[in-house]
Amino acid sequence: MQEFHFPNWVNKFTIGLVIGGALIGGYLATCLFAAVHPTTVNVGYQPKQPVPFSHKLHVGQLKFDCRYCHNTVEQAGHAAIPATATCGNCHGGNRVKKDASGKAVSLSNVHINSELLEPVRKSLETMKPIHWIRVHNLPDFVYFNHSAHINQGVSCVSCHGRIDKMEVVTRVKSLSMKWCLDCHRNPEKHLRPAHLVTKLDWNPDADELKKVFFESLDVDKDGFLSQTESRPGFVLPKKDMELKKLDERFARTDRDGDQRISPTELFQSVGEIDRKRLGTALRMQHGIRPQTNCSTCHR
Amino acid sequence: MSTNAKNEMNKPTPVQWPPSEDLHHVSELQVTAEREFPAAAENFTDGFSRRRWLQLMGASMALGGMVGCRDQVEKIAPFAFRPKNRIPGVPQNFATTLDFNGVGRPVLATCYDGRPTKLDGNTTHKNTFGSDSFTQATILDLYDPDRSRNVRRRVDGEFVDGTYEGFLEVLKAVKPSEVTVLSEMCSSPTVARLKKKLVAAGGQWYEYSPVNNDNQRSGTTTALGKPYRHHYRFDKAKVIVTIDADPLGMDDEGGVNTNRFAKSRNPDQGWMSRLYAVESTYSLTGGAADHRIALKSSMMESFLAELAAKVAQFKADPKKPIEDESENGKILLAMAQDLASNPGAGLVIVGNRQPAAVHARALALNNELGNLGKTLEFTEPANVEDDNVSAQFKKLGDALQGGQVKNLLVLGGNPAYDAPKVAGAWFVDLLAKVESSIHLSVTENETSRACSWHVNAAHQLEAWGDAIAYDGTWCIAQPLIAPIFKGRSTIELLANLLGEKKDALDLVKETAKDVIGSTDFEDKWVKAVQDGFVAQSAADTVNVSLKDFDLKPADLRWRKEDKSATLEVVFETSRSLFDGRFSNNAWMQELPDFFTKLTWDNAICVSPRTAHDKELEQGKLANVRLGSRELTLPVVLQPGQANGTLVLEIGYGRTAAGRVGGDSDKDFDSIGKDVNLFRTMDDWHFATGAEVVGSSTSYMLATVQEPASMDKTARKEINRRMGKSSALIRRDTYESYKHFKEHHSDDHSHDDKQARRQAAKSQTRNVTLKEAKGKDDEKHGPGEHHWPGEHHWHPQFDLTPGPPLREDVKWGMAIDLNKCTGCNSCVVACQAENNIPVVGKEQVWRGREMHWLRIDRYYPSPDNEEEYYEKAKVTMQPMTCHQCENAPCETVCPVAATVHSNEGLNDMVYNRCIGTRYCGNNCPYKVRRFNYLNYSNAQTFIKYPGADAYPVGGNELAITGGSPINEADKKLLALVFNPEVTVRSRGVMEKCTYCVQRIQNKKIEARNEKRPIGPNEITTACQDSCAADAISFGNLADKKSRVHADHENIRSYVMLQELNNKPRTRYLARVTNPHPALAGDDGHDHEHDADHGSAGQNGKHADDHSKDGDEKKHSDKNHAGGEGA
Repeated sequence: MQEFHFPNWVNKFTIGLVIGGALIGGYLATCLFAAVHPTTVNVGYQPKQPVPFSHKLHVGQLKFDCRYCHNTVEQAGHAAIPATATCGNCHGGNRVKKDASGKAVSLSNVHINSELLEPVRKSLETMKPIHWIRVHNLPDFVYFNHSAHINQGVSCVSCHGRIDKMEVVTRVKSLSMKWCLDCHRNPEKHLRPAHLVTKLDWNPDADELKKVFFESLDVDKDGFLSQTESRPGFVLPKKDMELKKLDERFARTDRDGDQRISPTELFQSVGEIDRKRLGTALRMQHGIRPQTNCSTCHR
Repeated sequence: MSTNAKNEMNKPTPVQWPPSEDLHHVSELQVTAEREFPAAAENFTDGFSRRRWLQLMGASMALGGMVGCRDQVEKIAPFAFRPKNRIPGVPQNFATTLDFNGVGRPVLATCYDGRPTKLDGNTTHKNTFGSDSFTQATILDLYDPDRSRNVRRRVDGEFVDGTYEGFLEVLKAVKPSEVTVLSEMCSSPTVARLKKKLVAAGGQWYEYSPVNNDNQRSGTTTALGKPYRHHYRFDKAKVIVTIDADPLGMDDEGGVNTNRFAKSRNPDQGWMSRLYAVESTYSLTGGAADHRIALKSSMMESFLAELAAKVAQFKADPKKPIEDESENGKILLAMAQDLASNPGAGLVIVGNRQPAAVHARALALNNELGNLGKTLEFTEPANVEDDNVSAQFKKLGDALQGGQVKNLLVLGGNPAYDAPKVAGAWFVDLLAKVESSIHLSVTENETSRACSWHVNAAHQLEAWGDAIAYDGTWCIAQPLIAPIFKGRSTIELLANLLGEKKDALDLVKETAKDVIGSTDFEDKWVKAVQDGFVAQSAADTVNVSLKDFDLKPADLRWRKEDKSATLEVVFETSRSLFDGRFSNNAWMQELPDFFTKLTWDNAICVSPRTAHDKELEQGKLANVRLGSRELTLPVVLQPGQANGTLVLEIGYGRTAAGRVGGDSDKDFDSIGKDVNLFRTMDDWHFATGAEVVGSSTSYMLATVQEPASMDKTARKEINRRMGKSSALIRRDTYESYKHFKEHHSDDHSHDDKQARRQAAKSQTRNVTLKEAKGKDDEKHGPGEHHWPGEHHWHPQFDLTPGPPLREDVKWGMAIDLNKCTGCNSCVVACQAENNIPVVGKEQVWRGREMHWLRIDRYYPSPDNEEEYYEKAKVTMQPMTCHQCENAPCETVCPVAATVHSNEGLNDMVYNRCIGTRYCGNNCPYKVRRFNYLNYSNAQTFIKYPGADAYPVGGNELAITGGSPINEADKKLLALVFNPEVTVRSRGVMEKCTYCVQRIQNKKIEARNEKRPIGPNEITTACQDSCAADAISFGNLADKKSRVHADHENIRSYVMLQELNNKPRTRYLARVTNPHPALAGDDGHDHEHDADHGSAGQNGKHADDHSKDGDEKKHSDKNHAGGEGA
């Protein structure tokens, strides 16, 4: 019986096999990771809704405020999907109101015969809800509260993107835990004065920022930044050291009020205002302390 | 095995006295005691091992791994027209009223999106404090899938579904004059009005409830002329004597009594009341008492007669010495002396169990002491003219037996199950004599099945109604949800019967006009509905005068030991199922009894001495015979119970309750045994002449605390821990406490150590203080604001990883053991608030119960066996996660699923937990609960224990068999869940979070409103439900908060503080107020100096710490209370 010898190429082949195997394995693992990554899975989710409501039209062109429809967003955890009656204000068809002289004025004659609006009319008639499909859906073990964010000056656009440009609402952010924490740890870039939260296209230049900076900081009767008990003095996390100068000044505006500071003084000390500095200022003054405790979201 | 041998086996083995150390095998017991989780707890039942499960799961993972990546498509269905003031997802509170056994209870319901999820006491009503377990559990009944869904009628002996319209057709033909009504006790003024109409039209009306206060009514009528309602002023009484009574327990006014009593037990206010309890079985009142006598129920009259005689003697001669040969006699003398020396500030209370004559005698005694109108007030109830319900029921029985009843309408209740024989027949047999019988009830129960019609009733939370609270306040019930199964309320049915055209709301409004007047009616009505009651409508107290009546002469029977072989049976209203109405309520079935800690069963409770005499053993079946009737029940030993007394709980053994409580038609076994068979109209509360025969057959008793508590080994360890300065329970007497406080409050220049050590020696019972004075003073010096022994914290051993704790927000809790009676209200409140699942009898038996908050009851006792068994004193201790700053659970979690928040909470992240159970093993307080099976899945939720087998792990691996519960039922049950709290699934560790959802919501609310959180604004669910106000919660850093004050209280202590855990929960030590002459016999903490010394040597751990403490010289900074100590 003749002895069997592996041919020479086997030596190279073995190395190739190991490397190839590792590459293929790595490739598959990467594919799997990428495939199940929240960004892949969640971003771009664009379900078809029963009524093709166009945010682009209503918000972008007609300039509706978000809170015209999502009117519980400032008081509640849910930014409620509006009751059909809200749609009916314009598209109701048969709903009539009398003006001061007693003359009947139809307020709701917009596209009253549109086929696309059939579900709205049906819902108004039968009092049965329209079944919308949730686009931004968090897992059941996560608690999220809209009012807590909106009232602190986190804009809708930070999480939902430019809704005013969307014909069909699409999920643009991953809504993953990492994404939440990124902002909770460094919220400055996303903070703006609370009255501007629904201004989705807000893109201030330096002058605008300066104006907002002076307008939005609360000043007491003496012209100093006001501090109340509900806005306790704020201790800066170490990460914000680059804004040290600003921070140092703010750190002095403690609750006891003996080292108070005016916005002008503050402005002079930091010079130019950018979004991050505005955010820091707002955060300081309002004592905004984004929680990173587990029980904040998992209860 | 030969027959002979078999007989030998079944013969009861003689029991040693005191019971042997080896009830079980000691070795096994020790193993059990040392383990956190019971052996093989990880195995599923039904022979389905964990490995097998993993194999299966592995396979299905491979197939289904990718499916679950994106969340399920979720739909949002907004209102077509949103109601005014409704914000989706924001809870609304509505005031309404529950009519519980003929007494209105104002409650506040929390509703999410129109769905009530929680009931609490409506504390804006001046006589409502907290709530109780029954109120809390009522919400689960609302969503019971076993509720009756249809009108049912009997056709050829079979029940078939009908419609209410069909029923009305039949009802039309019935003339009101031909109707006899049997109603459960009901306080509704509207029902009373309709009743009058019916009676005027010639109909008959009777009322009946098995739990009633007939005896008190009769006794009061004898003594005062009318059946007035009693109101006990615990807040004014300095000396209280209860005779077989439980005013702090399930009495109609239990919550008010508990609150007033708790107020009188604050040792820092300058005075403390003294409570004596004389009772046959342990009650909450007995547990709270300073002195307690265990006495047979039949001996109470004799006891009371002697007490009255002795009171007279003490009145004549206040200096009369308290000397008696028997210990109980001495207590009686002390009672008499206390009562005689506190005229107008004493109170003698007799329980409903006692016959009318005893009530009358007690009223005579109270009158003699000048208590009437002072500590004992009276009001006139609405039904003052009516007969007692037992008398009414007897009359109905005679009428039924005589064939005078044509149509019987039964409104609620369940007389077929709980009524005694009347007119020589059971109620079921009497029902057969009527032409047609109609039963209106929420569930189709035993009575429904014996009637020819069953009408499904609306739950109290689904209908308009009204009720009269115990203090006479006129309360309104508003519907919180549309009738889920289209049920009808009592008012609606009566209106239909009487041909009223109005609906229930209008009828209630019409009645309300009598109370709130017709001027501005609508405004006042809206206000009343909003409040839940009509303000200022409570009944006025009436002045009473004692009538002449004969009293039996005093005899001394109670002093003689009863040597006869026959026993006395006491029928106790179930602490969890009441009269059986909560049988199908899984929360209540799993609620441990106050003292025996038994769940899912009733048993023969017997004192250890009697058990020994009658050769009964814990956990073995025994046969009770009373007359010709007999029952076999398991035996539970109850220390402190009267010898020669068997206690049987009513409310169990239902045969038509549902899938939880038992349903013989659908093959679901009953829970426990029905002891109503033993009761007769005459021996309603207790009966003599019973016999009991033990057997050697074991029975699975699902108890939640120390199943082997009767065992010497277990008890020894408990006693060791309770006797140390690191005590689990701290008790002290009022005198000693006052002395201690005098020397330890803000007096920093104190130096009479010698004197105090002397004083300590003379107060041998006071282990804690004695030890403190013996050790701590020398080491740490006086001026300590806390209970001694609090100096062992090592700040440098801070084990908590993560961000530093905030100084401005520190959540903490304090529980006052002096106020807590152990009423279980918080346990159910926690269950309702936190979506805590029910696990079923077998799982409880395996030690897998899930209650986040449990109440430990201890019988602090010396090693003296006899004293332990005969004079067991009890202390209750609510136990929940202590949120340790140095949490031992956190350091061992491999996945950081339990971590510390910077506000001091020990956060539990369920979705991160992988179920290693290391944390549970490392928790010294044993407050972590592991979700072994998918308990919160409705399928397992209600499948107890009637089904043969339950599906392993819920849906995924559902094994067929057992109860069919469909998707709709599951959804119905899921309605009870609190949407603020995650519903946990299998394989997850869970525990108390200080109601973190409430903390977070309040924080968001306050921030949105741009205001700080008030000092006592955040409350936990347990705190809300506590009638005694024993629990305080809040921010320890807020000096205005109650919890801050409680933590600063000199009585506050930390449990197991030698472990350096730094818990955020502190207990306030219990301070009892024994009579000075009896101080030596107080029984608790009864440890002699010598004993104490040895205990000190045993407790090596604690001693080590004291040494450390000595070296480190701790400063005030180390206190839990943080700054401001």
